[in-house]
Amino acid sequence: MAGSLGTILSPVVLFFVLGALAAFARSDLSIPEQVAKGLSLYLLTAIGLKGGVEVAHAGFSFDMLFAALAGLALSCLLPLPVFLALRRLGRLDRVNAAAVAAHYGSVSVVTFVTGVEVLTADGLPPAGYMVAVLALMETPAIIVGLALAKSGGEDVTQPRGELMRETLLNGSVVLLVGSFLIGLIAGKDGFAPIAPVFEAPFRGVLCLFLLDMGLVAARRLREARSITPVLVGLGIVFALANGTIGILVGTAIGLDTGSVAALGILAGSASYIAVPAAMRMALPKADPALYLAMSLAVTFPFNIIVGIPYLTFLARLLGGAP
Amino acid sequence: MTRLMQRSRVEILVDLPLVGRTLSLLEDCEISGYTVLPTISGSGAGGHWTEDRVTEAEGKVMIMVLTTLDKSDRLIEVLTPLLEVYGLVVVRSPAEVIRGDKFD
Repeated sequence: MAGSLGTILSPVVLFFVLGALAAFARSDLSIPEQVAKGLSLYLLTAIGLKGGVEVAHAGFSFDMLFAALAGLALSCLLPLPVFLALRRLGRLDRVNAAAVAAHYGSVSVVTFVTGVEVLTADGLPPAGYMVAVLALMETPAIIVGLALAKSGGEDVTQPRGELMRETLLNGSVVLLVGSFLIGLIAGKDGFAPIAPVFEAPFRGVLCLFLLDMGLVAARRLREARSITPVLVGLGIVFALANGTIGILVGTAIGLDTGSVAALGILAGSASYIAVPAAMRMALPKADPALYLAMSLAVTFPFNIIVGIPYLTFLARLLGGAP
Repeated sequence: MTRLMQRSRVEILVDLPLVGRTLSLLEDCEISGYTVLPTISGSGAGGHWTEDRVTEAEGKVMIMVLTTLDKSDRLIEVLTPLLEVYGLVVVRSPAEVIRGDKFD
Protein backbone atom coordinates (compact mmCIF):
# COMPACT_ATOMS: atom_id res chain seq x y z
CA MET A 1 0.00 0.00 0.00
CA ALA A 2 3.09 2.26 -0.20
CA GLY A 3 1.79 3.62 -3.50
CA SER A 4 -1.54 4.34 -1.85
CA LEU A 5 0.16 6.33 0.94
CA GLY A 6 1.86 8.39 -1.74
CA THR A 7 -1.58 9.03 -3.23
CA ILE A 8 -2.95 10.34 0.06
CA LEU A 9 0.07 12.64 0.39
CA SER A 10 -0.20 14.02 -3.15
CA PRO A 11 -0.74 17.79 -3.41
CA VAL A 12 -4.11 17.23 -5.05
CA VAL A 13 -5.49 15.36 -2.03
CA LEU A 14 -3.71 17.57 0.48
CA PHE A 15 -5.32 20.72 -0.96
CA PHE A 16 -8.69 19.05 -0.48
CA VAL A 17 -7.77 18.29 3.14
CA LEU A 18 -6.64 21.90 3.59
CA GLY A 19 -9.98 23.19 2.39
CA ALA A 20 -11.85 20.81 4.70
CA LEU A 21 -9.74 21.75 7.72
CA ALA A 22 -10.19 25.44 6.98
CA ALA A 23 -13.97 24.99 6.86
CA PHE A 24 -14.05 22.97 10.09
CA ALA A 25 -11.95 25.67 11.75
CA ARG A 26 -14.49 28.22 10.47
CA SER A 27 -11.88 30.12 8.52
CA ASP A 28 -13.25 32.76 6.16
CA LEU A 29 -11.18 31.26 3.32
CA SER A 30 -13.27 31.08 0.18
CA ILE A 31 -12.78 30.86 -3.53
CA PRO A 32 -14.74 33.57 -5.40
CA GLU A 33 -17.78 32.07 -7.11
CA GLN A 34 -16.85 32.95 -10.67
CA VAL A 35 -13.31 31.71 -10.14
CA ALA A 36 -14.63 28.36 -8.89
CA LYS A 37 -16.93 28.11 -11.91
CA GLY A 38 -14.00 28.98 -14.18
CA LEU A 39 -11.85 26.26 -12.63
CA SER A 40 -14.66 23.77 -13.13
CA LEU A 41 -15.09 24.76 -16.80
CA TYR A 42 -11.37 24.37 -17.37
CA LEU A 43 -11.20 20.92 -15.77
CA LEU A 44 -14.20 19.58 -17.67
CA THR A 45 -12.88 20.94 -20.97
CA ALA A 46 -9.40 19.57 -20.39
CA ILE A 47 -10.47 16.09 -19.35
CA GLY A 48 -12.93 15.84 -22.24
CA LEU A 49 -10.41 17.10 -24.81
CA LYS A 50 -7.62 14.82 -23.64
CA GLY A 51 -9.93 11.81 -23.57
CA GLY A 52 -11.11 12.46 -27.11
CA VAL A 53 -7.56 12.95 -28.39
CA GLU A 54 -6.46 9.67 -26.83
CA VAL A 55 -9.38 7.78 -28.36
CA ALA A 56 -8.63 9.35 -31.77
CA HIS A 57 -5.05 8.13 -31.43
CA ALA A 58 -5.87 4.64 -30.16
CA GLY A 59 -8.80 4.03 -32.47
CA PHE A 60 -11.79 1.83 -31.81
CA SER A 61 -11.25 -1.27 -29.69
CA PHE A 62 -13.52 -3.92 -28.20
CA ASP A 63 -12.25 -2.84 -24.77
CA MET A 64 -13.96 0.49 -25.40
CA LEU A 65 -17.25 -1.22 -26.21
CA PHE A 66 -17.05 -3.55 -23.19
CA ALA A 67 -16.16 -0.65 -20.89
CA ALA A 68 -19.12 1.36 -22.19
CA LEU A 69 -21.52 -1.54 -21.69
CA ALA A 70 -20.10 -2.23 -18.24
CA GLY A 71 -20.52 1.42 -17.28
CA LEU A 72 -24.11 1.47 -18.47
CA ALA A 73 -24.90 -1.74 -16.61
CA LEU A 74 -23.33 -0.45 -13.40
CA SER A 75 -25.24 2.81 -13.61
CA CYS A 76 -28.52 0.94 -14.07
CA LEU A 77 -27.97 -1.78 -11.50
CA LEU A 78 -26.05 -0.19 -8.61
CA PRO A 79 -29.01 1.92 -7.45
CA LEU A 80 -31.00 -1.25 -6.67
CA PRO A 81 -28.98 -2.67 -3.75
CA VAL A 82 -28.33 0.88 -2.55
CA PHE A 83 -32.08 1.52 -2.49
CA LEU A 84 -32.74 -1.67 -0.51
CA ALA A 85 -30.00 -0.87 1.99
CA LEU A 86 -31.32 2.65 2.50
CA ARG A 87 -34.85 1.36 3.07
CA ARG A 88 -33.94 -1.49 5.40
CA LEU A 89 -30.85 -0.23 7.21
CA GLY A 90 -31.11 3.51 6.71
CA ARG A 91 -34.85 3.52 7.48
CA LEU A 92 -35.48 6.02 4.73
CA ASP A 93 -38.87 6.37 3.11
CA ARG A 94 -39.23 5.30 -0.52
CA VAL A 95 -38.83 8.72 -2.15
CA ASN A 96 -35.70 9.68 -0.20
CA ALA A 97 -34.19 6.22 -0.69
CA ALA A 98 -34.84 6.44 -4.44
CA ALA A 99 -33.34 9.93 -4.69
CA VAL A 100 -30.20 8.91 -2.79
CA ALA A 101 -29.91 5.65 -4.78
CA ALA A 102 -29.94 7.63 -8.03
CA HIS A 103 -26.90 9.57 -6.79
CA TYR A 104 -24.92 6.40 -6.14
CA GLY A 105 -25.72 4.92 -9.53
CA SER A 106 -24.43 8.07 -11.21
CA VAL A 107 -20.87 9.42 -11.10
CA SER A 108 -18.79 12.25 -9.70
CA VAL A 109 -16.80 14.03 -12.39
CA VAL A 110 -14.42 15.58 -9.87
CA THR A 111 -13.71 12.24 -8.20
CA PHE A 112 -12.98 10.81 -11.64
CA VAL A 113 -10.74 13.73 -12.63
CA THR A 114 -8.84 13.42 -9.35
CA GLY A 115 -8.59 9.66 -9.76
CA VAL A 116 -7.24 9.98 -13.32
CA GLU A 117 -4.63 12.47 -12.19
CA VAL A 118 -3.53 10.23 -9.33
CA LEU A 119 -3.46 7.12 -11.55
CA THR A 120 -1.48 8.93 -14.24
CA ALA A 121 1.07 10.13 -11.70
CA ASP A 122 1.28 6.54 -10.48
CA GLY A 123 2.10 5.22 -13.96
CA LEU A 124 -1.40 3.78 -14.53
CA PRO A 125 -3.11 6.21 -16.90
CA PRO A 126 -6.63 5.01 -17.77
CA ALA A 127 -7.56 4.69 -21.43
CA GLY A 128 -8.98 7.85 -23.02
CA TYR A 129 -12.35 6.24 -23.64
CA MET A 130 -13.06 6.18 -19.90
CA VAL A 131 -14.17 9.81 -20.30
CA ALA A 132 -16.92 8.57 -22.62
CA VAL A 133 -17.81 5.89 -20.05
CA LEU A 134 -18.10 8.69 -17.48
CA ALA A 135 -20.53 10.57 -19.70
CA LEU A 136 -22.58 7.39 -20.30
CA MET A 137 -22.85 6.66 -16.59
CA GLU A 138 -24.19 10.11 -15.72
CA THR A 139 -27.89 9.67 -16.48
CA PRO A 140 -29.23 6.05 -16.46
CA ALA A 141 -29.29 6.04 -12.67
CA ILE A 142 -31.66 9.01 -12.75
CA ILE A 143 -34.19 6.94 -14.69
CA VAL A 144 -33.74 4.01 -12.31
CA GLY A 145 -34.15 6.27 -9.28
CA LEU A 146 -37.38 7.70 -10.65
CA ALA A 147 -38.66 4.21 -11.45
CA LEU A 148 -37.94 3.13 -7.86
CA ALA A 149 -39.82 6.15 -6.52
CA LYS A 150 -42.71 5.68 -8.94
CA SER A 151 -43.02 1.96 -8.16
CA GLY A 152 -44.37 2.92 -4.76
CA GLY A 153 -47.01 5.14 -6.28
CA GLU A 154 -44.98 8.29 -5.74
CA ASP A 155 -45.96 11.12 -8.05
CA VAL A 156 -42.99 12.04 -10.21
CA THR A 157 -43.73 15.66 -10.96
CA GLN A 158 -41.97 16.20 -14.25
CA PRO A 159 -42.53 14.42 -17.57
CA ARG A 160 -39.60 12.09 -18.19
CA GLY A 161 -38.81 13.54 -21.63
CA GLU A 162 -38.48 17.05 -20.26
CA LEU A 163 -36.38 15.83 -17.34
CA MET A 164 -34.04 13.90 -19.62
CA ARG A 165 -33.70 16.89 -21.89
CA GLU A 166 -32.76 19.13 -18.98
CA THR A 167 -30.38 16.53 -17.52
CA LEU A 168 -28.63 15.74 -20.79
CA LEU A 169 -28.31 19.46 -21.50
CA ASN A 170 -26.81 20.07 -18.06
CA GLY A 171 -23.83 22.37 -18.56
CA SER A 172 -21.27 19.95 -17.20
CA VAL A 173 -22.48 17.08 -19.40
CA VAL A 174 -22.58 19.27 -22.51
CA LEU A 175 -19.06 20.57 -21.91
CA LEU A 176 -17.62 17.15 -21.14
CA VAL A 177 -19.18 15.39 -24.12
CA GLY A 178 -18.61 18.33 -26.44
CA SER A 179 -14.93 18.60 -25.50
CA PHE A 180 -14.54 14.86 -25.94
CA LEU A 181 -15.97 15.07 -29.46
CA ILE A 182 -13.75 18.04 -30.28
CA GLY A 183 -10.71 16.08 -29.06
CA LEU A 184 -11.83 13.11 -31.16
CA ILE A 185 -12.11 15.25 -34.26
CA ALA A 186 -8.95 17.30 -33.67
CA GLY A 187 -6.70 14.38 -32.79
CA LYS A 188 -3.12 14.76 -31.61
CA ASP A 189 -2.19 17.20 -34.39
CA GLY A 190 -5.13 19.51 -33.74
CA PHE A 191 -4.60 19.35 -29.99
CA ALA A 192 -0.87 20.16 -30.09
CA PRO A 193 -1.21 23.98 -30.44
CA ILE A 194 -3.60 24.20 -27.47
CA ALA A 195 -1.89 21.55 -25.34
CA PRO A 196 0.11 24.12 -23.31
CA VAL A 197 -3.21 25.46 -21.98
CA PHE A 198 -4.80 22.12 -21.14
CA GLU A 199 -1.90 19.89 -20.10
CA ALA A 200 0.76 21.59 -17.95
CA PRO A 201 -1.59 23.75 -15.80
CA PHE A 202 -4.09 20.91 -15.25
CA ARG A 203 -2.76 19.57 -11.98
CA GLY A 204 -2.33 23.01 -10.42
CA VAL A 205 -5.87 24.01 -11.36
CA LEU A 206 -7.15 20.73 -9.92
CA CYS A 207 -5.40 21.55 -6.63
CA LEU A 208 -7.23 24.88 -6.41
CA PHE A 209 -10.53 23.30 -7.35
CA LEU A 210 -10.17 20.62 -4.69
CA LEU A 211 -9.32 23.32 -2.16
CA ASP A 212 -12.75 24.78 -2.91
CA MET A 213 -14.39 21.35 -2.84
CA GLY A 214 -12.86 20.70 0.57
CA LEU A 215 -14.38 23.93 1.85
CA VAL A 216 -17.79 23.10 0.36
CA ALA A 217 -17.87 19.47 1.53
CA ALA A 218 -16.79 20.27 5.08
CA ARG A 219 -19.26 23.16 5.43
CA ARG A 220 -22.05 20.90 4.23
CA LEU A 221 -21.06 18.19 6.69
CA ARG A 222 -20.94 20.73 9.51
CA GLU A 223 -24.43 21.96 8.68
CA ALA A 224 -26.00 18.56 7.92
CA ARG A 225 -29.04 17.89 10.04
CA SER A 226 -30.84 15.15 8.09
CA ILE A 227 -28.01 12.67 8.19
CA THR A 228 -27.69 9.98 10.87
CA PRO A 229 -24.59 7.98 11.82
CA VAL A 230 -26.12 4.97 10.03
CA LEU A 231 -26.44 6.97 6.81
CA VAL A 232 -22.87 8.22 7.15
CA GLY A 233 -21.77 4.61 7.51
CA LEU A 234 -23.82 3.61 4.50
CA GLY A 235 -22.29 6.43 2.44
CA ILE A 236 -18.87 4.96 3.14
CA VAL A 237 -20.00 1.37 2.58
CA PHE A 238 -21.59 2.27 -0.77
CA ALA A 239 -18.35 3.91 -1.91
CA LEU A 240 -16.32 0.81 -0.99
CA ALA A 241 -18.82 -1.81 -2.16
CA ASN A 242 -19.77 -0.15 -5.44
CA GLY A 243 -16.15 0.67 -6.16
CA THR A 244 -15.13 -2.92 -5.51
CA ILE A 245 -17.87 -4.16 -7.83
CA GLY A 246 -16.58 -1.78 -10.49
CA ILE A 247 -13.06 -3.16 -10.07
CA LEU A 248 -14.30 -6.76 -10.33
CA VAL A 249 -16.34 -5.98 -13.45
CA GLY A 250 -13.48 -4.12 -15.08
CA THR A 251 -11.06 -6.94 -14.35
CA ALA A 252 -13.53 -9.54 -15.62
CA ILE A 253 -13.92 -7.81 -18.99
CA GLY A 254 -10.17 -7.54 -19.42
CA LEU A 255 -9.49 -3.82 -19.20
CA ASP A 256 -5.98 -2.53 -18.45
CA THR A 257 -5.19 -1.85 -14.78
CA GLY A 258 -5.56 1.92 -15.03
CA SER A 259 -8.97 1.64 -16.72
CA VAL A 260 -10.08 -0.96 -14.16
CA ALA A 261 -9.20 1.46 -11.39
CA ALA A 262 -11.01 4.28 -13.22
CA LEU A 263 -14.13 2.13 -13.63
CA GLY A 264 -14.02 1.30 -9.94
CA ILE A 265 -13.65 4.99 -9.09
CA LEU A 266 -16.65 5.82 -11.26
CA ALA A 267 -18.76 3.04 -9.76
CA GLY A 268 -17.84 4.03 -6.21
CA SER A 269 -18.59 7.71 -6.69
CA ALA A 270 -21.82 9.61 -6.25
CA SER A 271 -23.05 12.51 -8.34
CA TYR A 272 -23.54 15.92 -6.81
CA ILE A 273 -24.06 18.09 -9.87
CA ALA A 274 -26.43 16.66 -12.47
CA VAL A 275 -28.39 14.23 -10.29
CA PRO A 276 -29.19 16.57 -7.37
CA ALA A 277 -30.71 19.13 -9.72
CA ALA A 278 -32.66 16.38 -11.55
CA MET A 279 -33.95 14.95 -8.28
CA ARG A 280 -34.95 18.39 -7.05
CA MET A 281 -37.06 18.79 -10.17
CA ALA A 282 -38.52 15.30 -10.42
CA LEU A 283 -38.80 14.33 -6.75
CA PRO A 284 -39.30 17.63 -4.93
CA LYS A 285 -40.56 15.77 -1.85
CA ALA A 286 -37.11 14.20 -1.42
CA ASP A 287 -34.92 16.09 1.01
CA PRO A 288 -32.02 17.71 -0.89
CA ALA A 289 -30.11 18.26 2.35
CA LEU A 290 -30.04 14.47 2.79
CA TYR A 291 -28.84 13.38 -0.63
CA LEU A 292 -26.37 16.22 -0.86
CA ALA A 293 -24.96 15.47 2.58
CA MET A 294 -24.44 11.82 1.65
CA SER A 295 -22.93 12.36 -1.80
CA LEU A 296 -20.97 15.55 -1.20
CA ALA A 297 -20.15 15.56 2.51
CA VAL A 298 -19.60 11.83 3.11
CA THR A 299 -18.85 9.84 -0.06
CA PHE A 300 -16.91 12.47 -1.99
CA PRO A 301 -14.33 13.22 0.75
CA PHE A 302 -14.05 9.53 1.57
CA ASN A 303 -13.32 8.70 -2.05
CA ILE A 304 -10.75 11.48 -2.42
CA ILE A 305 -8.82 10.45 0.68
CA VAL A 306 -9.40 6.70 1.00
CA GLY A 307 -11.46 5.38 -1.92
CA ILE A 308 -9.08 6.27 -4.74
CA PRO A 309 -5.99 4.76 -3.05
CA TYR A 310 -7.94 1.65 -2.04
CA LEU A 311 -9.40 1.07 -5.51
CA THR A 312 -6.01 1.69 -7.12
CA PHE A 313 -4.49 -0.88 -4.80
CA LEU A 314 -7.25 -3.40 -5.55
CA ALA A 315 -6.93 -2.88 -9.30
CA ARG A 316 -3.17 -3.45 -9.10
CA LEU A 317 -3.68 -6.55 -6.97
CA LEU A 318 -6.17 -8.14 -9.35
CA GLY A 319 -4.35 -6.97 -12.44
CA GLY A 320 -0.98 -8.19 -11.25
CA ALA A 321 0.53 -4.76 -11.82
CA PRO A 322 3.55 -3.81 -9.61
CA MET B 1 -46.73 65.78 -8.78
CA THR B 2 -46.01 62.22 -10.03
CA ARG B 3 -49.02 59.96 -9.74
CA LEU B 4 -48.43 56.62 -7.99
CA MET B 5 -50.57 53.55 -8.65
CA GLN B 6 -51.37 50.71 -6.24
CA ARG B 7 -50.03 47.30 -7.14
CA SER B 8 -49.02 44.11 -5.34
CA ARG B 9 -45.46 42.97 -4.80
CA VAL B 10 -45.01 39.21 -4.46
CA GLU B 11 -41.64 37.78 -3.48
CA ILE B 12 -41.04 34.07 -3.96
CA LEU B 13 -37.99 32.31 -2.53
CA VAL B 14 -37.54 29.10 -4.54
CA ASP B 15 -34.89 26.43 -5.11
CA LEU B 16 -32.83 26.98 -8.24
CA PRO B 17 -33.86 23.76 -10.07
CA LEU B 18 -37.53 24.74 -9.66
CA VAL B 19 -37.23 28.25 -11.07
CA GLY B 20 -38.28 27.23 -14.57
CA ARG B 21 -41.44 25.61 -13.33
CA THR B 22 -42.28 28.56 -11.08
CA LEU B 23 -41.82 31.00 -13.95
CA SER B 24 -44.19 28.85 -16.04
CA LEU B 25 -46.80 29.32 -13.32
CA LEU B 26 -46.30 33.08 -13.51
CA GLU B 27 -46.95 32.92 -17.23
CA ASP B 28 -50.07 30.82 -16.62
CA CYS B 29 -51.32 33.67 -14.42
CA GLU B 30 -50.54 36.11 -17.27
CA ILE B 31 -47.83 37.82 -15.23
CA SER B 32 -45.04 39.08 -17.45
CA GLY B 33 -43.22 41.43 -15.09
CA TYR B 34 -40.76 39.75 -12.72
CA THR B 35 -37.10 39.81 -11.71
CA VAL B 36 -35.00 36.83 -10.65
CA LEU B 37 -32.47 37.77 -7.98
CA PRO B 38 -29.55 35.68 -6.65
CA THR B 39 -29.18 34.83 -2.97
CA ILE B 40 -26.28 34.06 -0.65
CA SER B 41 -27.57 32.12 2.35
CA GLY B 42 -30.38 31.92 4.85
CA SER B 43 -32.16 29.90 7.45
CA GLY B 44 -35.64 28.56 7.86
CA ALA B 45 -37.74 25.68 9.10
CA GLY B 46 -35.55 23.28 7.14
CA GLY B 47 -32.38 24.61 8.71
CA HIS B 48 -29.56 26.71 7.39
CA TRP B 49 -28.86 26.84 3.68
CA THR B 50 -26.16 28.42 1.60
CA GLU B 51 -25.44 28.89 -2.05
CA ASP B 52 -22.56 26.44 -2.35
CA ARG B 53 -22.04 27.04 -6.08
CA VAL B 54 -21.44 23.36 -6.73
CA THR B 55 -24.64 21.38 -6.66
CA GLU B 56 -27.26 24.01 -7.52
CA ALA B 57 -29.83 21.67 -6.00
CA GLU B 58 -30.11 23.70 -2.84
CA GLY B 59 -29.23 27.11 -4.18
CA LYS B 60 -32.15 29.52 -4.04
CA VAL B 61 -33.27 32.59 -5.92
CA MET B 62 -35.77 35.31 -5.14
CA ILE B 63 -38.38 36.02 -7.79
CA MET B 64 -39.86 39.47 -7.39
CA VAL B 65 -43.18 40.14 -9.08
CA LEU B 66 -45.03 43.43 -9.43
CA THR B 67 -48.59 43.01 -10.65
CA THR B 68 -52.24 43.82 -9.99
CA LEU B 69 -54.01 42.63 -6.85
CA ASP B 70 -56.24 40.24 -8.85
CA LYS B 71 -53.32 38.56 -10.58
CA SER B 72 -51.39 38.31 -7.33
CA ASP B 73 -54.46 36.60 -5.79
CA ARG B 74 -54.40 34.09 -8.63
CA LEU B 75 -50.67 33.57 -8.29
CA ILE B 76 -50.90 32.88 -4.57
CA GLU B 77 -53.75 30.43 -5.17
CA VAL B 78 -51.60 28.56 -7.69
CA LEU B 79 -48.53 28.54 -5.48
CA THR B 80 -50.23 27.53 -2.22
CA PRO B 81 -50.42 23.75 -3.00
CA LEU B 82 -46.72 23.81 -3.84
CA LEU B 83 -45.48 25.55 -0.72
CA GLU B 84 -44.56 22.34 1.04
CA VAL B 85 -43.33 20.31 -1.92
CA TYR B 86 -41.30 23.09 -3.53
CA GLY B 87 -40.16 24.53 -0.21
CA LEU B 88 -41.35 27.98 -1.23
CA VAL B 89 -41.48 31.13 0.80
CA VAL B 90 -44.11 33.51 -0.59
CA VAL B 91 -44.58 37.03 0.69
CA ARG B 92 -47.04 39.61 -0.61
CA SER B 93 -46.97 43.29 0.21
CA PRO B 94 -48.63 46.40 -1.19
CA ALA B 95 -46.57 48.54 -3.50
CA GLU B 96 -46.91 51.93 -5.16
CA VAL B 97 -45.50 52.22 -8.65
CA ILE B 98 -45.01 54.92 -11.23
CA ARG B 99 -46.38 54.01 -14.68
CA GLY B 100 -48.91 51.54 -13.39
CA ASP B 101 -49.73 50.39 -16.92
CA LYS B 102 -46.33 48.65 -16.97
CA PHE B 103 -47.42 46.37 -14.13
CA ASP B 104 -50.86 45.15 -15.30
